[in-house]
Amino acid sequence: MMLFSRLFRAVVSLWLIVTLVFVALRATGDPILAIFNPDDTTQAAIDAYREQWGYTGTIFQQYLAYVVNVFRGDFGISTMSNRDAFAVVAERLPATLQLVGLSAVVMLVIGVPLGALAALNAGGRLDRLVMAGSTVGFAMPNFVLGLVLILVLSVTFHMLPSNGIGSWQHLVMPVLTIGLAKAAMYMRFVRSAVLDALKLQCVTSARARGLGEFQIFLAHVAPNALLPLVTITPLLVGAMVAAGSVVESVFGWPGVGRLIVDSVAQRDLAVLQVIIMMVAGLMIVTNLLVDLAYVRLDPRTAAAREH
Amino acid sequence: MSFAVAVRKQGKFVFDMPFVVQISLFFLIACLSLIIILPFLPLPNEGAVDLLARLQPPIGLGGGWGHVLGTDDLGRDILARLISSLRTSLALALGATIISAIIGTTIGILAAHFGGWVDQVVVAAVDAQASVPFIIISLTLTALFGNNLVLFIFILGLFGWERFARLSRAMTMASRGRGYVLAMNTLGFPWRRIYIRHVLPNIASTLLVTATINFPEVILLETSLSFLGLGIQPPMSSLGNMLGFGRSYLLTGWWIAVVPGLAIFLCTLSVSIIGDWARSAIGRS
Repeated sequence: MMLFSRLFRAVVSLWLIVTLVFVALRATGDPILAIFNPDDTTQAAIDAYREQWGYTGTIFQQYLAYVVNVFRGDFGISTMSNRDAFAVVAERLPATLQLVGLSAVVMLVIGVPLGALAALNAGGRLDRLVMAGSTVGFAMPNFVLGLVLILVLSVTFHMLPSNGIGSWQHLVMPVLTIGLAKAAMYMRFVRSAVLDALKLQCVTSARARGLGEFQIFLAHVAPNALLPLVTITPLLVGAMVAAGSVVESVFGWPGVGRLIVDSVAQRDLAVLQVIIMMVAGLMIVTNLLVDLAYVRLDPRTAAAREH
Repeated sequence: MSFAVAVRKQGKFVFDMPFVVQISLFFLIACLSLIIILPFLPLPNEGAVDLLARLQPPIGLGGGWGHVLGTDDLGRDILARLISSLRTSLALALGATIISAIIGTTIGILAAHFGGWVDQVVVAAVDAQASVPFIIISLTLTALFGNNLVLFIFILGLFGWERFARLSRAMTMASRGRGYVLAMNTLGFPWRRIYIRHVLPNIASTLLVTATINFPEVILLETSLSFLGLGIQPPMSSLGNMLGFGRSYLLTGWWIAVVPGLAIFLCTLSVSIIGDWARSAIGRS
């Protein structure tokens, strides 16, 4: 039952996004005029194009044609490259997934231990150091960190290539830029999640029963701290896509993020709508997975929803 | 509450602050003073091109007193450009934060006042806004409507409204049960007067702290978009597009990019530090 209502909500969200994109695209004027110059195009060519892409009939018929096209994976032609918009985005996807995946690893490897240690040592020297690092990391814009890395590692020491894709050396700086920035954010989340878990009664009672601190952490603190961390995962996925648009531009990384910026600059709406729906779909699916994982991780939420 | 009280006895207040907060405050005041006295400084005009003095390094690295922070690829004085960019970026961030505070607070209070389906729509909109990365929305709006200054200010002003809406909604709901609101309502005062004259001053300190959290994020958003060439356009300069242009000269004139980058970093850092401190100061009371 739970699964069904969640799936239903995900489908409704997707449909809302498709509709919003349709409204936004049509609100900015006749799509034909965005592609053709009516002065030097024959009426026959324009009519043929209208017919082909479903720009005929009432706005409701156009909407139906649009939805049908979208579910067929047919998003129109990119005006930048005159190719199928979906194919243009799809070929950029592996590079971005590689970047985001490795950045997530860096974020977890740095963020989880430092955040947890800071919480266990609350108020101590390590805690203050971690919090200070997190504040600095938060205030540092992605593109400034990226440029500093280029200046130090490429311009001064000639260690790494500053631009492009191809070898593992190309990956180091973009991954560090996104990973470190997100680790600074994540440390705070981990710290406050662990701090909250430490206040639970089960921790106090475990301590009274004489369990060692390490055992308490593994058996009682970590499982409880996991719940809020799972909740923020979709937000982090979104944040990484957003960071990608800037960082990929800094390092000339040919991924989806740079494609967003290029298609905005060129006003390539066909490509942009594919990316928006892809990002929205990604967030909706992540949300769905998190909701389902939550029921497994915390049976109380499932029980509460039954009533 | 303690924030308002503390501001009133300012003399003691400044000395009670931690050292980093004092430095941050001092830095921001120094920036603001520089912006104000810019027209009176003995600096070259920020747009004055001097091709004979191209790519001069800052003082101490081989440059002279004529251009304290060096010059860019057209021989323009970096310090003068930095201060005028700082003015653009800080003014945009301040204006945007005020706009989003007004929009968000109004929506939040209306949601708390009417309840029912109005409230549900607002809560749904707040949740939706919080779950989508804002830079994607602003890029989409830029693509749809073309890049212009009015749209750009509108986009920045939209940023963070959901944070103000969520807070003001929760606090207004709480205050609707308080004695003073009930008493004024019983006495027949119109709701508008109760909200503006009585509820708003009571929640203002929390909203102010939220603004100090919003402010650095707006600076980051504005500089990111300008850096990508999709925000402030030349001949206007912001810290972001100054850095974006300086990026091409990393080999021959690294200071062109590093100086505005450092300025962005220090501004966001000092506002964040002050915001964190103000939040914990309110939390303690």
